[in-house]
Amino acid sequence: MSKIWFDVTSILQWNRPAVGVIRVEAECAKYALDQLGSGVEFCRFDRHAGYIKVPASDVRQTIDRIGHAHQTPVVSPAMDGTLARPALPLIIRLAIVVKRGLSKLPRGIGESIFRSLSLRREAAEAGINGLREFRRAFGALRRPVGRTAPLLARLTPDMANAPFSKGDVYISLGLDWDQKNLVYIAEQKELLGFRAIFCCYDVIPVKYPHLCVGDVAAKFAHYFADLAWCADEFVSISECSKRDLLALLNELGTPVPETTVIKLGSHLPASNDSDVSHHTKEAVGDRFILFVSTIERRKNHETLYRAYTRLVDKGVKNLPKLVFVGMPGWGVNDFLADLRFDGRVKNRVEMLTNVSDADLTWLYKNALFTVFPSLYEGWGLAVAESLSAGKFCLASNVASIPEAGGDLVEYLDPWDVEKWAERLEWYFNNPKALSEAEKRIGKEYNAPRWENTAGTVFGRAEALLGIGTANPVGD
Amino acid sequence: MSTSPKGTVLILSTYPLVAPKHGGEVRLLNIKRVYENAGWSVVPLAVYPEEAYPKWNTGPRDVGFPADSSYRLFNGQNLPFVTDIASGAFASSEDGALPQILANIPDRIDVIHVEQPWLWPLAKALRESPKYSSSFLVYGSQNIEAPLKRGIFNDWNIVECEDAIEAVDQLERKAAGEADLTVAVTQEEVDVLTSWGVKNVKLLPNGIEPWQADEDAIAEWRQKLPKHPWLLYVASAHPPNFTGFAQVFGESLGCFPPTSRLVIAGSVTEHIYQVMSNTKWSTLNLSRLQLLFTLSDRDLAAVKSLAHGFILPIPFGGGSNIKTAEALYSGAYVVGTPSAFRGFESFVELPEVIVGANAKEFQRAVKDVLARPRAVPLQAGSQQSELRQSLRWDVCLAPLPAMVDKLKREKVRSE
Repeated sequence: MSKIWFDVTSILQWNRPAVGVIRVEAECAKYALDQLGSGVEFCRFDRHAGYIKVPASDVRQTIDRIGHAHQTPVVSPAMDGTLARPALPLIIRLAIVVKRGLSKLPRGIGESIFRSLSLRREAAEAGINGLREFRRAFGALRRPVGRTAPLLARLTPDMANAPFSKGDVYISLGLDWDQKNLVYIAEQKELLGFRAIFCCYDVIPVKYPHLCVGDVAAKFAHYFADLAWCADEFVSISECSKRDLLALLNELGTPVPETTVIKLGSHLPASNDSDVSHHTKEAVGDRFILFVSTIERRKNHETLYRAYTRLVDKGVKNLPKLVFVGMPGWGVNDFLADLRFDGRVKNRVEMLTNVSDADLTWLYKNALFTVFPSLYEGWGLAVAESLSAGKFCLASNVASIPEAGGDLVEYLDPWDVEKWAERLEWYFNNPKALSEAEKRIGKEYNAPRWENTAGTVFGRAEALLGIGTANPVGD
Repeated sequence: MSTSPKGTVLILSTYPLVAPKHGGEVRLLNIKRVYENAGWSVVPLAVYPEEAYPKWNTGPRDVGFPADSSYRLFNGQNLPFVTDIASGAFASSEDGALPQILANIPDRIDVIHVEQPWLWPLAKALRESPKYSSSFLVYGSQNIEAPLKRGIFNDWNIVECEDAIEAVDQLERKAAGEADLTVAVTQEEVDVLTSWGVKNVKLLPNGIEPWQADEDAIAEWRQKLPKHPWLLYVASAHPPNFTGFAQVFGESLGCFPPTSRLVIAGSVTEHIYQVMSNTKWSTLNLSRLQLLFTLSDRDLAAVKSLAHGFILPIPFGGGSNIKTAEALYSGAYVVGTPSAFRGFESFVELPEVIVGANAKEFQRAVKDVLARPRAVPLQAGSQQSELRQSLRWDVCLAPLPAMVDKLKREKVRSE
């Protein structure tokens, strides 16, 4: 009898707080264990050995490990699929290492050296860039683009055949662009006759490469083209992402598999006030607005910063704190410097990183409202989470964000700083409007649940198997 | 020299015939053969750009056109892609190659066959000599060159080119108008020449040399080429073979599965690599290419025999492509642009032939063909098989000697 195989490669390899993609894989694996039992087998992909069966007990342990990670994601930002969370910029990691080293010296000396080094940050950044260029030059020297360059994607000769059988359905929702060999999957599909479902979180690296790290458009177009040849079906996390994906595949001339939209779970975990850190409460104060997202160019923290400085310049008093929850990512060094040195936002902008689930829930519940001026999204989980917490959100009107917020959110052009300043001030001065918006959210918003997400995914797999019981939980 | 009862044909070209590679060279070699097979003695003479051919690939009468010759300039300008235009003046001038040419050709020449218009001034200069004044002039038009030249100039963003295009136009009109016989490759070309008032124009389409692959070579290449169905593009470095290549595919080779490849052979290879490296989806596109560069005849025959199908991504260009004839002769699938089938319109209805009129259709046709089982070889003697036999050079060019004989007879009668 044909089976469903669920790929758990990404969660098995993950050893940090879960990010969006990891959360999707973990929640679907959990659903498979709890709801589908032995009807689903688990597997992982190894670059040298191919697919390896994974015992259900290992999957359970992994889900527990991820679920109990001390610090949760900086919540979502990113279902967006720019996929793996960007690591901290090298300059910051370097600063952390230096600071750690200097902490072994007497405090005064250590601080003095660190201050002196900080003044030479530009030299360090230039040095790092120089080394990167040197590494690129050396790499290009060692691997000239020649006759053999286009013969890419050779397979490791000792890769075994996958444990799948004809008619089986394989599901992969993880970090496939980094972890899979799609040529191998295409060959195995042809050889073994199984079918496959993959997930498209978004096509931002292709559509807006300037909002991602490095020149990624060509690489990700290659990835999506190969994926389209491997997929019998796609799931995507919004209608917008689906539209983008289909338009891209159409342009690339690949097959265009059937694509089903899944809604990602966004209900917040219940939290106990006593679990919330004192530091968080103290940092944000009594009156604050909240922006949950990694700090990177695409998320457009800049618009909020500029809107706030306009309000300050205009003489608006008693501004609530603007709280950013999320790790600094790439391309924001100048922006972070602005925050550091611009006196107008001193004590008005707070950055929090590595907040716990309990802290995050508390922040959502206690914010005046939330803001989300992102330039592009595959979904917009922070908007959905805001609504789950019963909070109004002032959000960007682009891409999938209106799908996440429906008509419970107010939308603005993400580049219209003037408008953002105007609407922020209006809501600061109209608590009654916020209160009415919250009442309406409480009445009308049904937070999507992860069980529904997973139910839709496995429903598609069962339909491909021919079982036809595609009926997500709760639907 | 002339020991042949029929007489001597002097063939003039801008490329030597010792090791023919590109389509024009192959056509001319076969023209030489049909003359010879019909009993003519043939003397080939090329005035070739000396930097383009090594000495060992040239014939005893061939004359190099030095790279530093003042004749290389066009109206005193150093313009690219005009060496062919300039070669006529060089070859027909007393301070150019004419003395050397006159010293090396036979005393009696019955027919001067000029392939492409470039050396027409030489043919005229020879006929002005009393020795050769009674020879016939045959003009082998391979293309309507002026629009083709304009396309090349445009592709390379060369703007100061109008005078050169005008010169080409005048030259080919002159050649066609003054020749005793003009032969063309496609009906389209015949129509243009006729519209110029040219009287004696005959259609002699391009053909192919049947190939027989060596079993050992097939076994070797089977190891090197993809196990899954793949398509082949064989072409020379002639600009129309690559300048529109990316556009034909909509700049994406995503229509090839990751297990397949578009295999490129011939001197066009490095140009295709350059073109596809500069596309928006370069990583994807390069991943779908397998580059073989120029192959020996043995290797090329093996590769052609193993191909699941051929592509003919020719968005423009006159003449008729020999690669089209080869692809059609192979019996494998053929996916091509409408321009690629110019001169082969009767083959378009064959079941293994698909025409892609735009990028989407082209991509769809590639996917379609790659998903089909390998084309079944045609039964010998079937109508379609007979149609394919008509693609052979010896069949395509067979009427040429008879046409020249007829000219000769008519001349005798008129005397």
